[in-house]
Amino acid sequence: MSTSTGGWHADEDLLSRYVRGDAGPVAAASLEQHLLRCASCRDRIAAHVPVPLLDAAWERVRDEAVAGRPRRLERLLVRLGVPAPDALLVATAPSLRTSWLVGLVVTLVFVGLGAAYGGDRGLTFFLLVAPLVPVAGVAFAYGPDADPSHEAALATPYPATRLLLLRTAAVLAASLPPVLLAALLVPALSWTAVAWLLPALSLTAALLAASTWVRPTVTAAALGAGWTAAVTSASRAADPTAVLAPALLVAYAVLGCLALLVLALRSRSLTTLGSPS
Amino acid sequence: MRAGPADEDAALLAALADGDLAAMRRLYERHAPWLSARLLRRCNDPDVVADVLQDSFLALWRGAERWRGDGEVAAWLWGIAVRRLVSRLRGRRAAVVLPLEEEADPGTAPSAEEVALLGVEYGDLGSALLRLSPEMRAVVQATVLDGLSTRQAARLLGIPAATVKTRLHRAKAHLRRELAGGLA
Ligand SMILES: [Zn+2]
Repeated sequence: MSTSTGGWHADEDLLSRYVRGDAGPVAAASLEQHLLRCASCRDRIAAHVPVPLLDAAWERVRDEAVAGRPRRLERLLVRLGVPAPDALLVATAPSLRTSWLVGLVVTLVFVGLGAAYGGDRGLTFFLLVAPLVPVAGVAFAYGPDADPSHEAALATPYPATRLLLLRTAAVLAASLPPVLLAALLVPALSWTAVAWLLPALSLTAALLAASTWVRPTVTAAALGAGWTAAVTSASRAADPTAVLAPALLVAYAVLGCLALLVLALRSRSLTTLGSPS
Repeated sequence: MRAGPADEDAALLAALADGDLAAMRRLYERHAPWLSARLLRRCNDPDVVADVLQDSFLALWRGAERWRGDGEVAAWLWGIAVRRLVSRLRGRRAAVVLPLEEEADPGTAPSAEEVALLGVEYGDLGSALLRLSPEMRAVVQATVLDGLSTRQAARLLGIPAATVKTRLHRAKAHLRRELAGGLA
């Protein structure tokens, strides 16, 4: 520290001559060694350095730092062992944050509803919304409607199907746990608290398969309308949990598998969702 | 005495590694001024110096350079900056004038103040350095004081690596003679 220099510090004149290049080689070399160890002389030299140069460089540093700021999610994924390019593309999905937020809001709403009403009304609402949360998330995770960096993301040689599945997995991982938590907090749901996962996954698979032809947002709207009709009619007839009858659960599973098969067969021709090549 | 500045620099580097832009701003305020002054003495093109500052701080931000937590932060930062300068200078030697060689007029005797200053920092080595030719002193400065490799020093000075080696060899022999003979 400064004690090692025997109390010597550069005066303003030397600092000013050094910055102008007039200090002479010996004084300059000495001052440079001193500056490495003396914070007070480093602070004082700032007054002699041209401000425009420093400001211009800082503005560029700041702009590039903000533009290239690695996302927290991306860092987390890399830390969990996901390869860096995968992590980048997953983290840039616009709906990841959204689907997590939606999941959280749904959680809060159901905790509230379950506490206030319980019974059939809360149950119908839950069955209506819960399976559609991942569908909405996936619809906005990938595709021309959702992703402003879509073009850029696909400009790199990266398999579109891999990206699609990665982002779907990420959306499911982000959106299902909060909804599941909400379901477990509503006593009226009992076993349906878990059974809704089957139609949710089946609908998501159907979305992926259909989206090899049509925009995912269009498909998601159609699936949402269909599911809403099914739940409301079941609710009016007698029991909203009829949409989770054992026979129907088997049908969801079969449909889901069929959808995944279609996706696998069509994945080779898939460039972007909704716009097959 | 060990307190403040070094600890604050280390804390700022840690915050910067966590993506704290304000910490980088603070670190920039503390170190960019003297770094730019020192860089301007190696390269008198302010645009290149601004580019080097930008490269260096972005390297910190992106984690390309990691502080291992020992030694002086300032010396470590200078090591980063001078290497970025060398890589920026690749292929544009003509644009660069080295103030050190330019001003080191052999006819000008070093002032008493200069000798005293050098004595403070380098002891007897300082006065011996004074009696080197400007060419040899430039090589000693780039390699010994700035910590560059022979190849990097060659790029910075715009001379062949072999010339750097020869001059450094001669300079060391010269210094050894000076230190052995002139002490008493
Ligand atoms: Zn000082």
